[in-house]
Amino acid sequence: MKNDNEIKLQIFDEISKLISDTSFKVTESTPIIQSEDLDSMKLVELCIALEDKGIEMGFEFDWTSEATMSRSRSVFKSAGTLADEFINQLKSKK
Amino acid sequence: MIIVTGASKGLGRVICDRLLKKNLDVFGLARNVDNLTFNSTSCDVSHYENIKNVALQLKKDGVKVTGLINAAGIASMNLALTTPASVTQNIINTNLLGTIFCCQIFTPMMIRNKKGSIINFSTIAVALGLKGESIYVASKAGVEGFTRSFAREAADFNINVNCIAPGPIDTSLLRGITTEQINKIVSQQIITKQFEPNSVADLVELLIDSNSDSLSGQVLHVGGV
Repeated sequence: MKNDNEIKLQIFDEISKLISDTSFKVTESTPIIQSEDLDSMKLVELCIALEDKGIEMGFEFDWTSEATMSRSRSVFKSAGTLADEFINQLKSKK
Repeated sequence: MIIVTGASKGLGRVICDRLLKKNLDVFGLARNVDNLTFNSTSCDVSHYENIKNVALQLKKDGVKVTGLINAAGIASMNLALTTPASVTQNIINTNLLGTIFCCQIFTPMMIRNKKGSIINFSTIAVALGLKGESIYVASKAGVEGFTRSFAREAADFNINVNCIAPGPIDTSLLRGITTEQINKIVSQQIITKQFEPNSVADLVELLIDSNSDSLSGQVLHVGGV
């Protein structure tokens, strides 16, 4: 099983794929919402990519639950907070 | 696969039968699916978790969703002032929230294919502002507004969202409406005749087909208004 850091890097990689500037390096603090590089369409694509990744890892990444959305400001605040939420859900649902 | 809600009776059932006749893969949702002979499962569209569980199962089964037809609907012909709160909530929950929930939950499955068609259902009662149907009209006017706005959101993913608004079609929803009342409504249509469920199915067939790729965010009135 992958460790948290490996999973985090995979999620950063998913975010990178959606950013047109290929030289851009995604870090913990890279903003997700209010980002010039990620419009609403790309945000949905990112959520779906993470849902697929969750299925690969044997759990359902829920990006529509009330719990996730009520904390949406923090969950989608940055690449780091999104990765943390993904890992939290992985640990609680597996 | 095309998901059809309200698949057990009325327009939903007619639509399922038509799509099946065209050899399309149909999956019906209804509260009671005991009498259905095609792929279906029990689901109350007014319950978000119910729909979510259906989507989860379809994902597990690797189903490719290409269309969603939100035909589930209820009506209660009554003055707003004499409609009990529970009935009001039930109408809004099924007609408006049910449509929104299904769009929210099933659209991501279509986004994966970067293609899809969603058909929602309204009624001529919205355009005419029919007396005695204000709660029903409120729920369906919400569906029309949601359709127009959601169509823009879904267009980014090559998904078309349209709404069919029939005049009085002969289904169980018309129970309690007199022939005189039906004739009065029909007389206000552009084409002054009462259409059959098959006319609605014709329109569904068109909207689900790639020949209608240029149409989105539209409310199409069967009979014209």
